Amino acid sequence: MPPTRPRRLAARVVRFAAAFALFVAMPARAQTPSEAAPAAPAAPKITVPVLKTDEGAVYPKQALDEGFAEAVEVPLVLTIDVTGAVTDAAVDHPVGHGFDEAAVTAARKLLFEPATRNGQPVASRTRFVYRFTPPPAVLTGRVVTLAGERPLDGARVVVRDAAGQERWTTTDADGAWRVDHVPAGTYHVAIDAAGMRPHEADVSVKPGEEAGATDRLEPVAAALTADAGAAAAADDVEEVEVRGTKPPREVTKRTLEQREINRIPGTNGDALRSLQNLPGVGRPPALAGLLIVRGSAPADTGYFIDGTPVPIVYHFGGLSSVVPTEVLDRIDFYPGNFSTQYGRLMGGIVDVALADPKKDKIHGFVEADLIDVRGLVQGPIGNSGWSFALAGRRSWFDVWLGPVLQAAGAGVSVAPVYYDYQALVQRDLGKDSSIRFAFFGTDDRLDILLKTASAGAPTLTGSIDSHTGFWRGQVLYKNRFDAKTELRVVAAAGEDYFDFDLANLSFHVVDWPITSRVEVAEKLEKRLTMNVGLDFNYAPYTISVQAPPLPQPGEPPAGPFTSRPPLYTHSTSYVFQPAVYAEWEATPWTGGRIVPGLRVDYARDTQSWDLSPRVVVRQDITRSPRTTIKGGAGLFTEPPSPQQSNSVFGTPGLVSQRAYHYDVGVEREFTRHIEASVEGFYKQLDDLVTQGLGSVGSGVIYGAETLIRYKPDDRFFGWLAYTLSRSERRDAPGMPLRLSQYDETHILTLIGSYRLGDGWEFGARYRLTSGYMYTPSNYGYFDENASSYLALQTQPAFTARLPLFHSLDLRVDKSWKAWWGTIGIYLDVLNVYNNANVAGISYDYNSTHQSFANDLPILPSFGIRVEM
Amino acid sequence: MKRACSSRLPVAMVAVAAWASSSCAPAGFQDGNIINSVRILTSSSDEPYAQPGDTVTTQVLAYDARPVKPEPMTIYWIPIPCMNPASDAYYACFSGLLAAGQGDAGAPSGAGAPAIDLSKLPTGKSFAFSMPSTAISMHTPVPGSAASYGLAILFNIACAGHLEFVPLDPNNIQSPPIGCFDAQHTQLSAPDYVFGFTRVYAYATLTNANPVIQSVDLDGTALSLAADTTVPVLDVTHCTGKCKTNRIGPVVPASSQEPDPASHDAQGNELKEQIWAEYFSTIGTFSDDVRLLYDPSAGSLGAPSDTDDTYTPPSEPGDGFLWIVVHDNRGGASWATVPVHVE
Repeated sequence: MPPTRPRRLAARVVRFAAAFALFVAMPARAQTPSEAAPAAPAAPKITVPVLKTDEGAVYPKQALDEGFAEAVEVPLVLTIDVTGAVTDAAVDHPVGHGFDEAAVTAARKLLFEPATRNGQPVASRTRFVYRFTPPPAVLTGRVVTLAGERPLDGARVVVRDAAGQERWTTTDADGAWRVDHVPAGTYHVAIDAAGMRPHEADVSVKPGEEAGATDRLEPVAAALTADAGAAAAADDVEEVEVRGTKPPREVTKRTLEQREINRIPGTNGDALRSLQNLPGVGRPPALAGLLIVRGSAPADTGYFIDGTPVPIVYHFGGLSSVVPTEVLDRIDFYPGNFSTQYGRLMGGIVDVALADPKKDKIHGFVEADLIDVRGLVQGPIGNSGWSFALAGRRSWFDVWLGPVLQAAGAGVSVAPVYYDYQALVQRDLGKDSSIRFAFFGTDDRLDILLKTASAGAPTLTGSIDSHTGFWRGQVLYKNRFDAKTELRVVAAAGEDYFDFDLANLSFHVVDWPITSRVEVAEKLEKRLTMNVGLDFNYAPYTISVQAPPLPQPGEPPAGPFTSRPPLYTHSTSYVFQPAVYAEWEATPWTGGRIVPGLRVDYARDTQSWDLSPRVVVRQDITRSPRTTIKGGAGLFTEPPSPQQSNSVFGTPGLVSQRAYHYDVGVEREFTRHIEASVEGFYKQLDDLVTQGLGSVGSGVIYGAETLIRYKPDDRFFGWLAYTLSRSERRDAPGMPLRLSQYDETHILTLIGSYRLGDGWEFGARYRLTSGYMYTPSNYGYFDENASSYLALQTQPAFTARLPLFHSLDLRVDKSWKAWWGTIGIYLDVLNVYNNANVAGISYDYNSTHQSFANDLPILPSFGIRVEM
Repeated sequence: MKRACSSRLPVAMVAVAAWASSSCAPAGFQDGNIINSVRILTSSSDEPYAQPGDTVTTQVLAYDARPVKPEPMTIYWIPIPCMNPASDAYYACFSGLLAAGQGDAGAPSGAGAPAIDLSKLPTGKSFAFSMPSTAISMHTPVPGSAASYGLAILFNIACAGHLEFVPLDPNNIQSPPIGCFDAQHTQLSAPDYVFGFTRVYAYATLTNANPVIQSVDLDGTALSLAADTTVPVLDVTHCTGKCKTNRIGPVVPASSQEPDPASHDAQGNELKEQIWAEYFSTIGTFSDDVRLLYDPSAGSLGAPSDTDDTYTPPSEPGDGFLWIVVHDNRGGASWATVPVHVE
């Protein structure tokens, strides 16, 4: 709801403690007459200053703009002169968000009866506390008839808050109603007018804002006599300016808030790693950044930054996200059955939204931990209407890792180092229009000469050079032309590069992608919105690979990789993948929502068209609290990558891989903060690429996931996520159906974080998951060319499972507020009780002995953050 | 391009991690370079890259270090090289090998090959065979290969007993067709048996020579190799705790690092071979299993004093051997044998 009438609400003034005067004398000790000594001085008579006038302090706009809506106390020390005027006001414990300035401004206008000493006014100092409470909101509305929109006078409007408390009013002659002084939150509004069908809806309102809606009611008679189609057409669909969160176009959409991302234990506040705690997401190997979504291969899940696909999301495969949490607005995660706006993928979608730069003043922060140092500065560019944000990060573990590697016998030219950067300028072009230019990228590099090796892998020596990264220049334009038409354009160009060399083997890929997505949303009528878009991907590329031939599935490597003559390929070509898509968001009846869609993709590589029909259905069963059943089905296609169809290392003649997604589930909001959901899913995979054989693989993945979540409030957030699933693959017809390497039967995650007060926050995460699948090895053969044993591997692959994984991670944060900002430190401890989790199997040189290779032991990490 | 790098990104870090985790034997595991059983250490063909029609002689370095030897170790050779197996995979030879053992005049080298009688296999430390004249022409062309080639895979088995054919596991293409059995017909495994193979490539023009060990450097002193690749006896004193160690390693001339026409760097420059030395011992220990001598792009890693390994004598007196095996990455190998006397 737009803030049409921001209200200025007076802050209550509370006197916190009795005043004390600095200029008062020390109290005298009482004495009995018999003890009276001659000439003892009389005790002075002192009075404290007494408040006469207070105009009050206003809840600062800065706090509201920053989304801060909590009750706050600002303690002050006032200096009062002999006239009772405040000559100085100092903040004792700054709280930021504009509260300190508001308190000082208000305090300077206070008037007191001055303190006295022996009846004479004296200057004094006293403590004083301003308490700010979020300004209340206003609910308004207008009730009219569906036909002709005639105002309905005297309709009864009942507003019920989350705690069940009700307030009611009636509409005036113009059909308008108003309820003042309501706390911010979500309300259930029930409208009852004589001769009309009752109507109910939910509305959310922020502090100090006014939420308004126009509700159109139909006559009871019309509802009773109309046929089904007419009834649907005549249903009471309201025209809402802002009414809570728009239901997703997907069956399941999960969004993490900044506070959750920052505080999940075991993630070091890393944005994308936080996703690994959601239901349906498998536990990745330690420090790995893989996202295993509902049993799909990690490569089947795509990553986007504001709709622009990016090839890399983690530095060195998992150390940290390439986009720092601090520049994020949110992360949208779709584990399956996603909208037709996304294509060329058949797993899940992660879409990262960068936050618009702040417009009020210059802000900044610096943070450092054992891995990297990062910083951000943002704010307005003068009075130009533009705002900017500049952020960057560089790792510094090369400082200590380089010497460690050298001590271990490696020659280190460039120790592992990474950096990333983000630059944005943004301007609002009107109330509902904005444009933003962004430039972001990342770069990882290492250069090491391995001088020694073991008997188990004698050929793993030589120089290792790796240089990986990407950059994008992006423009994002949004415009809501009117209440019915909205345009969103995102276009980007840049470069991806991946260079890797090991001894005489090499892998070099560089491409220059140009991508764009243009989407128009048009509200065709009250119950139907159409989204039409163009999704374009053009990428010239060069591939240069020198490597031994790759084994086929089920085949063990034919020998140590450097003991065979390498193959070489060099090709220059381009990817051309245009697509069009359309979705229709229909709300044909109360609480119902149907979103059918169709996507048409073309892939130049395969010179084929892929049609992807999809549909999502949601139906609210109850509206307060809301209970929704939902389901969806769709076809998702993924064209082969240039590497997969390469004539030397891949298999020419491939077709797009296909996945059929089927979802069904239920969501329920128990309170404003507590919600739960259960989803069942089934995925049929066809035409999977099998190395050396072609598009002959298949698979099936099915399971159920549940999430019980407490959304962040002033103190707490947390959730319980559990997934039960099975992921199977068949490499080719006639080959056995086997468990996928990404199969994890049970995934349980329990997370909670609590603000203790005084800057302390404590969080814990407990994880219990099935072990990884692995392929057992046994005593086999001896490759005399490399003096190395080759294990006899069990077939089919991945027939054994590692033991259960469980781990408790804890995080403690402490922050101090100063007049200029905040200092925070944190301690994030992984695997607190040092459980010997198994990450894999270690074999001796000839695979006659084996032992468990343990996952990370207890691993504390420490960070510090300075924010201004 | 669609996620060109997402699935490959961890490769560099994985390689470093694999190296870091493999640079020494995991706790509780025996060091693979300490020889105390039947072992094949390497083999060397006089022509790692042969021409069709050439006679190739292959020698194997094997040793039986079992403390108790109910039966002696014998090196058996499968007399017919397996030519051009599917995907160049050694295990693709097994079905033909088993068929030949059953009197089926089929594989391993194709139609017309004689059957194999395991009781009459050639034995000894060397074996010679003729690279077929059709070795290259019969190989399915491999896209991306620097030149057309043929492949002969030669199998040898070190067995402290006798050999018998065993049925293949239909569910595992890697299962061996031949087992090693003792006199009681018990199938033997790791301490008494090694199933080895070596690859010999046939090229029309490409050649490769085995790396040359000029001498063995011992604490800065050059030890000359005799014709049988043996150097004079190394006399050391047994010790415990802080011991006097020796720096030892091969002296391999730069000329041994031949150009590798099949390998190029990112700029298209031709690379050279990779050469490394592997160390084995029956007495005492080495600090490193493998040390790199020549890198394809960086070249020599330095003088012997930079590349030598560190040898630590055992805690008990005795006699034994050290072996230094030098490999290139194109199938070439040579070795030096160092007798050790521990006082």
